[in-house]
Amino acid sequence: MIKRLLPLTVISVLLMACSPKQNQPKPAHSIYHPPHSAEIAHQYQTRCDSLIDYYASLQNNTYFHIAANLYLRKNLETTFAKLDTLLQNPGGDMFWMYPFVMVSFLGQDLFPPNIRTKMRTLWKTYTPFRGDTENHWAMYYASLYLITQMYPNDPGNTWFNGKTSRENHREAEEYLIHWIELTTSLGQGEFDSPDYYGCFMAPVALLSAFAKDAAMQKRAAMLLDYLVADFAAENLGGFYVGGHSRIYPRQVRNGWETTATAFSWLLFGNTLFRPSGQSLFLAISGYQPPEILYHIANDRSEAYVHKEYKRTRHRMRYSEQRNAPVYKYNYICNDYALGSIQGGLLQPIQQHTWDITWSSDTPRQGYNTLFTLHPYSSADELKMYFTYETDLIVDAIVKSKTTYDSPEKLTGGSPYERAFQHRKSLIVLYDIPPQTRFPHINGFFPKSLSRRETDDSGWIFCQGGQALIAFYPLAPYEWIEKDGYWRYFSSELHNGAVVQTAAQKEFASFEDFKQAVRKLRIITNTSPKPSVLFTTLDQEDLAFTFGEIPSVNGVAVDYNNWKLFDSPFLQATRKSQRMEMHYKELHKILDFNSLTTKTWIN
Amino acid sequence: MMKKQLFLTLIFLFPTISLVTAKSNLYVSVLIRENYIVGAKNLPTGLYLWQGDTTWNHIGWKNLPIWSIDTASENPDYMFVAAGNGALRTLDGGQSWKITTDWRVTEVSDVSIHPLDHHLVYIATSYGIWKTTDGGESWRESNNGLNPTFTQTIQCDASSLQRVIAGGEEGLFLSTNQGESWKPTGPLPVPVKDIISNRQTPRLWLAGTEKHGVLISRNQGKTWGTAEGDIQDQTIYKVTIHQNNPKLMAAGGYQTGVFISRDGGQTWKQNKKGLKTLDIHGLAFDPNEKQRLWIGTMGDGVYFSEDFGKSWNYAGLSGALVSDMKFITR
Repeated sequence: MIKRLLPLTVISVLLMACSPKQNQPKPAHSIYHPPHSAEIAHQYQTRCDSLIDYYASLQNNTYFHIAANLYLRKNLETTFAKLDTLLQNPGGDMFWMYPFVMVSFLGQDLFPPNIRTKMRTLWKTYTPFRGDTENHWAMYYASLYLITQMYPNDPGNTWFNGKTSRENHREAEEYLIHWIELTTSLGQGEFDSPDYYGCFMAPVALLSAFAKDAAMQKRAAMLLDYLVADFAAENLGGFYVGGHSRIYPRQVRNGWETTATAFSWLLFGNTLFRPSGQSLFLAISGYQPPEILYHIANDRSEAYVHKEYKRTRHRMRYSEQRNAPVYKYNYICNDYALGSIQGGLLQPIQQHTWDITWSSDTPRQGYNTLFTLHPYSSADELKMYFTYETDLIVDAIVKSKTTYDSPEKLTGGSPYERAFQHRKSLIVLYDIPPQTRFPHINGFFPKSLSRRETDDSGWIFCQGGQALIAFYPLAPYEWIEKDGYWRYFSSELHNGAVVQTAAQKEFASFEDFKQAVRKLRIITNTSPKPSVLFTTLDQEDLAFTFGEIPSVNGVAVDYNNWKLFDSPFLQATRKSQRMEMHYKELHKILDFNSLTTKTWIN
Repeated sequence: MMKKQLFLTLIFLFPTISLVTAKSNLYVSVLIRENYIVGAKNLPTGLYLWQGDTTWNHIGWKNLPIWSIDTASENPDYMFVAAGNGALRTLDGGQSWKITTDWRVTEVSDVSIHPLDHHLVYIATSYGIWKTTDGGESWRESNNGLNPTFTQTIQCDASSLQRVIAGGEEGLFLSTNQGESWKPTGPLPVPVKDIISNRQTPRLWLAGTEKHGVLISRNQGKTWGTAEGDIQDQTIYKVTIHQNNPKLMAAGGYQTGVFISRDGGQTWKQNKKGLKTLDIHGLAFDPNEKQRLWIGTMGDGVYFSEDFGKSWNYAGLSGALVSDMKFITR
């Protein structure tokens, strides 16, 4: 398996000179037949209405149920009674604030005086905590901005935090402007999280719907477009594909269970119905996504590469950079998406570095993804982002993130993992010191794979949906059967894998795919550092050594000029606060510097 | 601004509690961590006031992680707490609170009100030090010379308006110009968890460190030595010095139980017997009972000892993770 040949640089040159050109795959095309523009808008409105009706007809008692009824002005007496019950037991901090604010605005002309008084009083007697994450602060400050807009002249002793309406409003406005500038300059810290997507969309939708100040309203409406565009370009049949800052253990196996799919159903109509209170608020807000984003989310007739620059969450220690860079890379086609970030510690606890996700006819069942990781667990990682005591911090985190310190965990970044992707191929390397807490790597190979074949060549050939996957381990491994998946396990410390993907339609048969992959030149080395030279199915030569800059056809990857968004659909440069959207004849520009948009058709 | 300054001044001229009947009350800040996540249902975290036996009254916010408490020596109603969402101030003994900082300040670990001027307050945060000179009406960053900026503890020098010492991830930092600039001090670039000085003997300072025990200075923080014995490689979260007897000291930290010194830090005796949890994050000598030492544990509430740690009396707050404790004299 491990071939020790010539120095890698020499081999790289030789490979470029004599790579075989046979067995090249056929291009992957599929047909895209979108509805007419008016129909797209009509269908979106229909989905909004059905979601609102769904929540209005629920028999439970939540702020979402109440908001839907207030919006429809239905069942008002019952709704007020239910609301009165909820007001007796506020809780949930910022997760309480934003639904409460939504209900406050929707019912401001409807509430009886006693309800109105109780609602106002809660802002003095209940003390919502601001939290410690980007999503917490988005919910907290958007809510505070709007509720102090509703009560603009009240003194500090009528608010939970002792500040006057004016002080609270100004502080919220300052933070929101700062956050939006940072997001459109260097990306989000909690970037592309399928679980937390709604925690940003909902408060921004509220701002868009209810901010009186024209500049803030415009800013929020533009940010909605921005966040929707970010998701649209990394969307495959409703699934948020690629690397993520945060995803939970159950959801990393079944992406259907994230709030992102609920938004995808609502915004793009490209998956099955999935309700979420946060998407309900978008439906109520009156937001109308521009048509171009519908096409960007749905048209997978041509495969494309989509790159993004994000940042880490604020680091408080152990880093020279408060926000370290994150380089995202995705290859997306109709049948699957291969996506990655560069590895290392980029987000505490819930990082997802790479995967392949394939289109599924049964999206609710999930398990349509494959990935590997090093299950890193360390107080050092947590202390970068949290202030808790060293000896107690892991236990404290495990109270809520229960798998953080598990050797079998399927989420999390590692300083001993590096990933490099070029189009349909990916190399992931592991250089794990022996004293680390869990000295092995895990892989997730779902049982939903229609094929999982170990080949004498060293490749593992798999098929998921219409995606063909060739996986070449750098070191010995074993399979451990788990509920719903095979755990790929390898305790070799110098480790890694080469992943070559293709769409089924690119080959006449699975056997042809295997044959083509077997012929690819692959040279791996695990000492002193894991290293790979690989010629892809597209006849491109990839070279990657752990801790070094990878290269494609002998040219080093240019991370310095990595754009904020870079694909056929989206373009943005770092620090520009400006995004361009393009889809065939449709174009739109969001310019947060001037708070202007430009839309045109060629 | 002028009105607020005047208001604060009046409060200090006419404190609401008579000093004639001075009595010290014990406040503890509690983190109930079991099942605690942000956004979960309300749990009784925050500030508690001891009522006797095992009874405590909760004060203020119920869902706020508080890491430190400080009060003005001349007015116990004026109090600051260092909390996850900023520096909170009360002017009425905890009946009402204001978050005095804004969105720029978060993860506040410690607060120190200057004993000579209550308007001068410092906070230690995960992103550096901030100070106010108007009692919290406005704050500004004060990190010149501080590297790295992560700061966990800060303590004003009770004998000098100019001097203040901070502890962070890489040791102790001293400022002799009200925090305008900082210089490293102390023997080791190790994480410092707590700093304390004694108002009666202001040359004496203690610092608790991570894995390096207790540091002691006997010359106002200019030079530091290391406490010797079993304590020297321990992680110490809290240190304290008896108000009236500077030879009596205590220290506690991760799995340490309580170390007590009765000879001014020359020797330390470890006490573990009778404690269900050995993680100690709160320490205070009782001004009302001269031999009573209170401790706050990480997970088993509050205890006190009246025999220098030979035996312990349970004082309630079962299951609580205590982050700080302080006696406030009324």
